[in-house]
Amino acid sequence: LIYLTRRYEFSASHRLFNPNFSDEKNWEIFKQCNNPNGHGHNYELEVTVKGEPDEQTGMLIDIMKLDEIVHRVIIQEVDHKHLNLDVSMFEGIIPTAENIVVIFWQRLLPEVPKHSPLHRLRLFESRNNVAELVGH
Amino acid sequence: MANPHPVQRVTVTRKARFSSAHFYALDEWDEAKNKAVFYGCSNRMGHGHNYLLEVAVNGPIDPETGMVVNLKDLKAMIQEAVIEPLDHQNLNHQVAYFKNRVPTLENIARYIWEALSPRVTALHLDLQWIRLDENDTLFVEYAGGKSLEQVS
Repeated sequence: LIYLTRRYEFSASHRLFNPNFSDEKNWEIFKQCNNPNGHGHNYELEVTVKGEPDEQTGMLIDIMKLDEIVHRVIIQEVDHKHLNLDVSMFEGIIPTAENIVVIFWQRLLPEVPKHSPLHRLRLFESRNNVAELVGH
Repeated sequence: MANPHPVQRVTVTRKARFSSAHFYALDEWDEAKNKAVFYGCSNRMGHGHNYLLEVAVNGPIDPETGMVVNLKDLKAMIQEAVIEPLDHQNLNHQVAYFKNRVPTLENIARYIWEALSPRVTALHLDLQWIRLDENDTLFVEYAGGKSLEQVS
């Protein structure tokens, strides 16, 4: 069992707020992330797949294929976008790092080849904040 | 001095770096097929990486030294098992393990595991996992067939 991780980057803006909360409550909970004009991050996404490498090639997965999947399903959808306003996968969802990683998991799971299933996603919002989701 | 937690087991991780050349190609395939499967990595002239290795070992804290392992011993072990055979070598041409195996990141991790495992056992420690980074965008983790959940 080998775990292989590929790292990707994208830049996006977002705003954390719940439309059901008052302005005061939104500010109290989300603080400066609630700024109505939004703010942005250089996100880093680590995609980990697991499985047994092919005996002949020594490779677990064709990395170019993984790149193609992640770019098509995620990066091109979110890079240089406003997650609240531009990105349909986040409609009705507060784009916290936790929610983003869950949505990305749902998008990637059916696309990744069956012999090397998704194991873990790590989303770095900054050097200090990371959300991690591990499958079972 | 008495250890406050005499049976506490702790995982210690040591990093090491090496630089090697390699290429991906199977002799039984023609150049077109090798290129279709391995892309630019199939160039038989080879290319190289600065690899970063992390080795995690687990064991009880020695009550006399306060250490799971003397890092000088761990460093010497990694030097002998990994750095000396691989650093500044062409993996395809100079490392026997890769005579009949493509030196992918996955296979290099297995080589390192097999080289380290008996040495770690000889020190009465458990080799927990290793991580091998090829560059900033690609790494593998290996726990000798165990799942990462079992060893973390």
